[in-house]
Amino acid sequence: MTSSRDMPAPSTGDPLFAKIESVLRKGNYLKGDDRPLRRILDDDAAEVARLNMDLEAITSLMKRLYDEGRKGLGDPVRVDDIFEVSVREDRGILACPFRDHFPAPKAVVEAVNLKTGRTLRYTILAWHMIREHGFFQGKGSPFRIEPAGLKDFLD
Amino acid sequence: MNAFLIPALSIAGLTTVLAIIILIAERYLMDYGEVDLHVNDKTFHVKGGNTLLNTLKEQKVFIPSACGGRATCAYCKVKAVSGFSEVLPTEIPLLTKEEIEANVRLSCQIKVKNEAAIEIPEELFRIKEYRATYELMRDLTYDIRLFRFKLIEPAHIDYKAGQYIQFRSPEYGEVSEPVYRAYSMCSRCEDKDHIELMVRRVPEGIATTYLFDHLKVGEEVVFTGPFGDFYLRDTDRRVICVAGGSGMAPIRSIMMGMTSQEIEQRQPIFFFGARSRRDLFMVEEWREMERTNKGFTFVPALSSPEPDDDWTGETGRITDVISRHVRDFSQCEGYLCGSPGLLNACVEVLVSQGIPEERIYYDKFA
Repeated sequence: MTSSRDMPAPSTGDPLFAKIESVLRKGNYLKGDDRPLRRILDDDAAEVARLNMDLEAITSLMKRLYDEGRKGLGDPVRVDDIFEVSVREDRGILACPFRDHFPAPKAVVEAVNLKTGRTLRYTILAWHMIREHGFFQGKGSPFRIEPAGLKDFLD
Repeated sequence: MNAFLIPALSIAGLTTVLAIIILIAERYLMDYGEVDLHVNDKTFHVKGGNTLLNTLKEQKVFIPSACGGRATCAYCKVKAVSGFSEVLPTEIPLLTKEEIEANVRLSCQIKVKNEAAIEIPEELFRIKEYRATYELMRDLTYDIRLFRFKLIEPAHIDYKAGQYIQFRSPEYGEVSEPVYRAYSMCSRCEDKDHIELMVRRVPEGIATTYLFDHLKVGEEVVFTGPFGDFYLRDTDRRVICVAGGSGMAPIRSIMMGMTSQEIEQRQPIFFFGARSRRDLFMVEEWREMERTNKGFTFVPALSSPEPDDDWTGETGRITDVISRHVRDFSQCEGYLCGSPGLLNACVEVLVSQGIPEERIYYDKFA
């Protein structure tokens, strides 16, 4: 999987930022959330900081769950005897709305923390947008991940 | 706090407004007039200013594209002969050094602003835009459906069994712009009036939600095609097909073609992987094909059969089942369709058994 970390993140004043916000709204990534994109990003960044979350480490683990889970070809796979992971893959790719050319495979990861019983469901595009853009999606988006929920799942 | 926030928000608001004005100005005020676009030995008089991909589409020349023009899939590469700008930063990650030297460009990124010339494979001229009527649907499993469409205009389609189309999912509900999705045809290619698609519902997927929940029988749809180089090669080698889920689609089309052409000597064998019985479908149809095509064998396998599945067939991952049924791989070809994970696993197995990678075929869009 390629990384877009060398791509500069668009800022609010960048013409690209308005375009990205428009694409996110059209694509339902901000569904049910009337806050401007900048506010959504800032609110979630503040929440991540408040919870003292290490997004680098967390998203690396999410990627590992995906990599291990997809070996099951749809069947659940145990990871570290802590997680049970199923990966559903469909053909095709999704373009990252942040226009960084990341070709996100159509994959949904469903993970269970066997110690706590908590579950986490995320797409690879959602994973990428959190990792590279700090974007957890709008409050009503079907693949919104609450930072606190993510932390709880992994704890 | 306010002393800082108000100027910051004002600047942000102002720049956003300016950005929108620039976008609108570029869209509506920049007039490049009519220009000549030479494609191979044809010349089109086109309106300048649009991307090459969209300009060609307006001329009914359809270049494959799976990402909606967002410089992600890299399927829309063409050879730019003259008349285009230098390679753009958005193209660089998707072009090799050799491609850049050979003037290969992403047609979704470069704009036609003046007279220009490109080269494309001749077969792309055969790709057309079709209108069709949604004729009927058949539930195959709890999340896979077969959709049948009758062509309106053009009224007939010529394609090779195994090829795919790009289906246009229009605006609906909160989806405010159309998207295109690639689906393999699962129909008999001799029936030129219809196409059939086998579609698995993608959770929250824009196009599959449209197909499953919004499209009504009798409504009109639009698609382009046929695309792809996944089709039966004209050799004498044994045919090994492997698929899972809706990946059965192109294999069905290929096998129906082999059966109607009475190609039995290639001893086709189809391994179909499913999790449990609820994921298995069309078994009777495949058994019927075994009776019609004496050389053909269908091997379904369940990786996690449920206790009440009463399953006596093969169990385990489909990649483990293959070598139980094929002894000599040296004169075989592989035809694969399924999730990227399945494809990777199958390629690994078939190569390890001695099939050269160039004799293993699957869709690029997978």
